[in-house]
Amino acid sequence: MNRAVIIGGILDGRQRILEWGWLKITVANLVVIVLMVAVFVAALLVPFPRGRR
Amino acid sequence: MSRSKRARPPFEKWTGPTRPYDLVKEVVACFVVVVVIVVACAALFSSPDERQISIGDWARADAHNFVMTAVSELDGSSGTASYGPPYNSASDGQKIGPLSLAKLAGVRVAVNAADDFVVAPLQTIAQGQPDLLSELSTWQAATTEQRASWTDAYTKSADVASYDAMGNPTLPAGDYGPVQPMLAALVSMARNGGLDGALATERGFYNNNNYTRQMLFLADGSYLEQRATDQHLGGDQWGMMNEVGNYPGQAWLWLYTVWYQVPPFKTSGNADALIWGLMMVFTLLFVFVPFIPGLRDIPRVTKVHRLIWREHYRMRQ
Amino acid sequence: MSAHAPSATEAPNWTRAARERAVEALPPDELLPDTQPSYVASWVYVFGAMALASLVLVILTGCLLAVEGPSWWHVSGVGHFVNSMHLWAVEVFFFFMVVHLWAKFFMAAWRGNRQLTWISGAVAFIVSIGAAFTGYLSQQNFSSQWISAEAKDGLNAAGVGAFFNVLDFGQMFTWHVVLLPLVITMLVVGHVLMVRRRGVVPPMEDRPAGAISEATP
Repeated sequence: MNRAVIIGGILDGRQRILEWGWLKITVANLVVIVLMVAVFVAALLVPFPRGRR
Repeated sequence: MSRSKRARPPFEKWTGPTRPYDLVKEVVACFVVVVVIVVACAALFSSPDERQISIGDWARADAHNFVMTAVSELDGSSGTASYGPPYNSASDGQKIGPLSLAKLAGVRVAVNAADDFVVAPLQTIAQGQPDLLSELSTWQAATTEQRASWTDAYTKSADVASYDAMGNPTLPAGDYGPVQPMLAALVSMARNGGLDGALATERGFYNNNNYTRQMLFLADGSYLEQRATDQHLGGDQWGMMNEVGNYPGQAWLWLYTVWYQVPPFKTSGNADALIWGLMMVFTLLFVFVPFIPGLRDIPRVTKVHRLIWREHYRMRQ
Repeated sequence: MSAHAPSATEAPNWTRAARERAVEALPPDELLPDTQPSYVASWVYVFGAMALASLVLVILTGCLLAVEGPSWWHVSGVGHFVNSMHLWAVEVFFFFMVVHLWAKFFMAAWRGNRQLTWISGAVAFIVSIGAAFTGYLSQQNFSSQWISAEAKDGLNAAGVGAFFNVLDFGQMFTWHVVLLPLVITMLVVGHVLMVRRRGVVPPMEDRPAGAISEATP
């Protein structure tokens, strides 16, 4: 199959799972959640330029 | 006269300092940023496209499971045959306490497992095969007790039999009635791809956007589930949140899927109904936060807003 | 300004009444303001616009997929790329929508008679989950098969499966492409208009007295 542009499919392949007892989460989902929290915290802390626009 | 004089609702208007603001520029800038992020992700990560499986795949990969599932459709013990509403009345469906929402909704997606998955598809190929036609007639004319005796005997033998290269069990002598030739024909039909086609067009040439029959039959076997479990998509593997490969899935479903991992839901036959009820409660709590004392006070107590509006509070000192 | 002034005996004009009500509810300089209150001074305020921009991209890429139909992305490299954009736009949409939700929660943004703004946003989130779900079912690959086989049990147990058959591709696809995007768009447009009408929620004051009344619910 032709892939037009792409490096593609980096995320295919064997899944990586993290487990703590009954808590199981894929690395991918954990990365997304951590990123969301990081972006939220960054937005709270990074100073907002005054007099912008 | 025609103009109604209505007081504006009590929305407080800000009368303090303002700053210039370009709303349209902000939205356009956001759009550009999003396009860049999405094009980069699409180029780097693509999207998963795990190949679909068919009944033919299943019958070729695991003849034993296909045959055992097919006979369970005939004897009413399969998942679909014993499901209850909305497919049939074989059971009452799940309950939340005394309440059976499934039963209230009724049988609206009618499926007769034995006829729809086995007999009807065989009838589509029986026209040129008088022997098969005669076996099907024998089955149709038989009493419930007679059918049960045939399927019981067949089930016991086929479970422990060895299977030949064509996917047929080598059975000892016994009274299997028409069940043995019927299932032999069904196995052959399945392995050749004809069963997929027959189930798809059972209701007519165009009525094949509805995959109910094929999917229910597939889901009664273990091939579909085995493929899913291999990818950590199973219900008790937090599967609802996951995607194939290393792709992010649906992290936002964490509160829905967590209950399937813990007692008492983990082992309850009513897990789906109970968890659905629980999620309805959580959803209502979420939507009506502004009216719920305690919940709506969390922002004031946690003081994250002191960070958000720190400039404003500083100016007011 | 009316084209003509109504006389005492003229029948009520629905168009004029609608226009006057709309302009009174949301004058143009509040609908498209070029100033904002000085307290809007934090990066958390961008997430709503980012979520909105993501939604626009989801719909645009969805339209491109609709041009060629649901099988296209399985057989075409360009189609697969557009599908990838649609998927990642959805991931980005949920990402920013949830962070926006966190920000609005910690701001208690429902204060000052803004309860409906919160409710419309919360409902939009729930409906978006439904749209994403029907999108997964529309893929026509193994994921669709597995997701539909699993989801049917939860929906059947709630009595919903009798009317909303996840194994019926035609039904799921048309919900995904027509009904749910329409509902989400209406909710989001209503949500944004409410924000414009009521203004951005002012800061919480720790002391009851202040220039702005607290107006907690």
